[in-house]
Amino acid sequence: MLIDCGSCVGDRTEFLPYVQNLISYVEGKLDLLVITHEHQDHINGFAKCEAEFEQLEIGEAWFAWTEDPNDPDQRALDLLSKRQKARLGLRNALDKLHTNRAQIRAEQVNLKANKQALVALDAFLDGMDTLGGINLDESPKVKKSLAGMRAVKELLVRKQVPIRYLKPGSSLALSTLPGVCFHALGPSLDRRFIYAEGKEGQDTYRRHEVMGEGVLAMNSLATLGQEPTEADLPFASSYVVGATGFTMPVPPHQEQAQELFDQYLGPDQAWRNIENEWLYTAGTLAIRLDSHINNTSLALAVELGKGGPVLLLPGDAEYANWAGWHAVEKWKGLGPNGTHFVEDLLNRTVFYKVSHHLSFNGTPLDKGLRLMNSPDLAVMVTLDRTRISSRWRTTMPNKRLLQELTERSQGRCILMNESDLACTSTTTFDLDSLGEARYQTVKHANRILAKQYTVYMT
Amino acid sequence: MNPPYFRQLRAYSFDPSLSLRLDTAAINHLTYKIEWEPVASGPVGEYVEVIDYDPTVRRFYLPVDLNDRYLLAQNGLEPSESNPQFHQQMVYAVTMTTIKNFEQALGRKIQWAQRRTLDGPNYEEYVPRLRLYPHAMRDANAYYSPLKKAVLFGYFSSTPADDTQLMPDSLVFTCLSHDIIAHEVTHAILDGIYEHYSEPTNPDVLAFHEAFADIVALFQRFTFPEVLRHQIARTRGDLTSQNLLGELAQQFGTAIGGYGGLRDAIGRRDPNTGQWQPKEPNGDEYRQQTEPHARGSILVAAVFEAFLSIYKVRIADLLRIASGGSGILAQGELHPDLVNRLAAEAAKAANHVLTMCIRALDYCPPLDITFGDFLRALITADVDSVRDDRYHYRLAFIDAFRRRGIYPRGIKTLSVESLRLSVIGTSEEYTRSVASQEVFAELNSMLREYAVSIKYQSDRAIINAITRHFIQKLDTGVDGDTPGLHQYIGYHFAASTEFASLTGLAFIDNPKRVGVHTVSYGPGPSFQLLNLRLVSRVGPDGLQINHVVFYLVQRSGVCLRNDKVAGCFNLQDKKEEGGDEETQRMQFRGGCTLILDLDTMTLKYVVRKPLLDLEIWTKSRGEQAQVDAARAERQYLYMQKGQHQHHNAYTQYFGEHVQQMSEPFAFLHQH
Repeated sequence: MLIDCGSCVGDRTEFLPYVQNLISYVEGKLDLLVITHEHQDHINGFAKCEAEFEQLEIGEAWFAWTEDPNDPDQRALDLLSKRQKARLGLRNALDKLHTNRAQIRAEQVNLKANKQALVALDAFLDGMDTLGGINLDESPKVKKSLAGMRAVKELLVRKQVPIRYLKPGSSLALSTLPGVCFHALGPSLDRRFIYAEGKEGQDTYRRHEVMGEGVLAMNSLATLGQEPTEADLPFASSYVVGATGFTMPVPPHQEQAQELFDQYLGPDQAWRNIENEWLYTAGTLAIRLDSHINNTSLALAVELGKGGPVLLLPGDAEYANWAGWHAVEKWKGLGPNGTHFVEDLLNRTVFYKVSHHLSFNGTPLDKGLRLMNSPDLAVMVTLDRTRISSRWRTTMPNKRLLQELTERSQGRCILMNESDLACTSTTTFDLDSLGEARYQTVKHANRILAKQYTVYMT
Repeated sequence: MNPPYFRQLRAYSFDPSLSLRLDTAAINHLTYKIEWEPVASGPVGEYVEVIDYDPTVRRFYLPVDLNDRYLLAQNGLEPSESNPQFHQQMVYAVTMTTIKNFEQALGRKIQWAQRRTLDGPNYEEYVPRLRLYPHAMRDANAYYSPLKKAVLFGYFSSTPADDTQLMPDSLVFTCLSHDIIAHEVTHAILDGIYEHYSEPTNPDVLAFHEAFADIVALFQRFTFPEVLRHQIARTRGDLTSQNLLGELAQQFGTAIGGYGGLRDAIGRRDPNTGQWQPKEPNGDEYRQQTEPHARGSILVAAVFEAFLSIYKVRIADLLRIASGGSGILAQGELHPDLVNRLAAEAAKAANHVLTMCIRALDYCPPLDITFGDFLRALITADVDSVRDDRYHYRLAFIDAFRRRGIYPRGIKTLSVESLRLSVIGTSEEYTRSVASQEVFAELNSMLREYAVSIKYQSDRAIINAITRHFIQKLDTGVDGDTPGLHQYIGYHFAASTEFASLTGLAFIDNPKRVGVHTVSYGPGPSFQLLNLRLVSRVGPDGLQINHVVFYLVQRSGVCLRNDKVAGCFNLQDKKEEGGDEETQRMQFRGGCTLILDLDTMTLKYVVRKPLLDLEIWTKSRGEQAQVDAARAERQYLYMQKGQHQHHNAYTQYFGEHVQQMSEPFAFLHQH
């Protein structure tokens, strides 16, 4: 079973050895491929190493319902086109900001106390590039899905692999794995959870999962550079001066227009122009898009035998996705003492793949981590700070979360690369003391996949 | 024919959402009375220019011509969300109302912050008009940009938490909210007085900016009699219960998914039930809350509580009269006459509170302000203009601040006497020192000249030009040898132990030993002299004050090692801030506001944030000069760590300085 395949840095040459190693490890055959969500760092491997995956035998593939092109309620398509629009807007804003970068700098360079502003500008663009890196394709053309997602879907169609689109509340099994049950927890079908903001607290940010507020900005960013139509304007066109940009309109507005143009465009007025300020709105849009895509993650709980230990694999689910699990109607009261089944699954979790690489809102406390109270809990984090761009390094890891995870798992907290993380409890517990049957780091030359933790079915 | 005194313009008293509610529709349309001034279409007047350019579609919207005969005849355009010309009219009307409230309280004309450049004469440029862009972005936000000297209003589509509160996806314009306009314009006015208040050197500075802007927005609405009468009738005179007057930005708050106003001075909604509850103050918030808006709301609540106490005292007799002596009103609606009388008292109390707050600005330190400093300024300003505090206004303020754990540093007891700044002019030390009396008398007579020269000027550009000339005397040909105020101070106090003790600034020989560089024309320390102004006003009991106020600011380079001050460096070194692994470099400012009394020809008050450690300085009798390490370390710790405690996706992705880029004064910080 393979879940996602991607990396936000590195080209094909760098990525290839891992894929080759993977293929040889599974001896050319996957029983199950799970694609959680479309972010580049999760699935661009399929685009980078298309030819290699072509040779791989794949039993079946699972996606979240949000990727279903035939979703009967059109909800998936609706989300898809919204995302495409947001991406188009983000792409345009990013291009425009880069084009105008020199001009924005020049505007500020002649001002005192500009140093901070310039630092801020660079940091902002850096952040935009970072978010753009995983939410956009490299090519300037914006398509419905990202390259990795397109590649993997085409691959599966070519190879005629059966695909399933999972809705929350469904439970599946594989004939090759008797006794093991896969429960789909999210993404929720309820728009409250796809779009909703979490409650403000230690484990979530507000406002960034709401796409609605940014709709207007998104619209104008998506049509940037084109002449606005009547529908793009907030007012009736009779209030608008001139039919196009700064060209002179016909009377009766001609004189007024000239005055306005002079006031705004006059040679000594350039410093007060506001051509670029509104583009910064793209910052919130980018965060919203990013969060939204994370929340379309297919979250799975793998139950090893009825009532047995559970592996929790939530993709990059953020707060809203987790909150949705607890609202799955048909699982209500199925846990012991009338608790929700999801609570039961979390109680039994012995292996948790940490959601969203230890970011601030990847793991909710009350709805998630605090329910994982098995004494055997081990957590694994797909975060290698030597392989992510600088801006991600400020958001990941969330040190408080890391500490909480380490404490809960009594030190069985596995990171891809912990070298530059100073968290005392990770260093006091020696993972090697678990024994090779439990935990292995790869020391053999022919194995480059990094770390292995083994869970046994009881 | 002479022009009229007022121009009447219709606008919303709150925002468009209240026009759709049966209970408030009647009071939401208001006619603003604005002092008459010639306006060009835009509107463009003396203080502001409304430029309705929408960069998101690259279009101008037709500017309104307020001189149009038909518009004059009907008090401007009728309130409408779909007519951008009405938007322009409302932005203009509310902005001018805010400006005039300030001018009335301050007793002088307001000026916008100068534009500081790296070239041009004296690196500053006079900005006659604040620019207002009613449709500048598509975002649930509005901000004053200190860089552009402009207010940018956004518009967005609403996403209410509950579809029954507001139509989802309907357009919301921040430029149609009285509160948002007043809030942002207040930021601009405050920036024109204290430009260093945009530097977050302690957790209170930006919070003060936000709080002050909210206070002005809140109390300005008490000047609308219809609104006031309506709310007093509805709450039966009890303004501590839920009411519109304590809530800010109703439509905005609902549109971004909240319940009711964005901020509320007296209560809060339970996030789960949506039920309103009164807010009980405690000291924890002030200790823990660091986000500027949230921290600012503590100050807003304190001021609002002071207002409510004052109001209660003022209406106690009315309630007794109306209730046959019991003080407990009978069931049912209040008599309209009683409502009128209560409203009049509320309006009066609100006006007093707003005036007290605005006047206090003249008594604040020029940088690094804390809420405690503001309390002291408030008390001092009030003692200066009102002798007889019949209704115990000052106590009401002290009490409200105390209940929130806000105390000024360095006072030994809490009372009106100890909070009031000490008057230098009558102090023993000052009267003993003949030298300082002479110097300040000379300074005062210079300033008297200045006062006379601008007293009768009403043109803001001329006032600005005279003031600048007086400080700098650039064209020395005309004035012979008399130096400008800056040079006068630079010469007379170049190394004056007394002046250094008084101001806490490095007026010492070899100022480089505390990281302050020297002026170009001598060995004295360099310093900035800012915001020279004449404060001339008459209190309610006829008490007249004639002050000249200005402030001095000095900056020094401080090195820190392990969070402790470890020496100084010269800021003119190209390396400036930063430093190596172990030593951090930081710019550290000290400053003081000097208030001189033209009547007694003395220095009356000094409000200071010393650059020097005054304890060491005094103990060594002016031998040892060191920077105020305690304050510098606090500042360092706050700027390095404290400021960024509140996790916030926006700053994590886009860097800690992102708010500095364009929106330190955003109505809502991105998070």
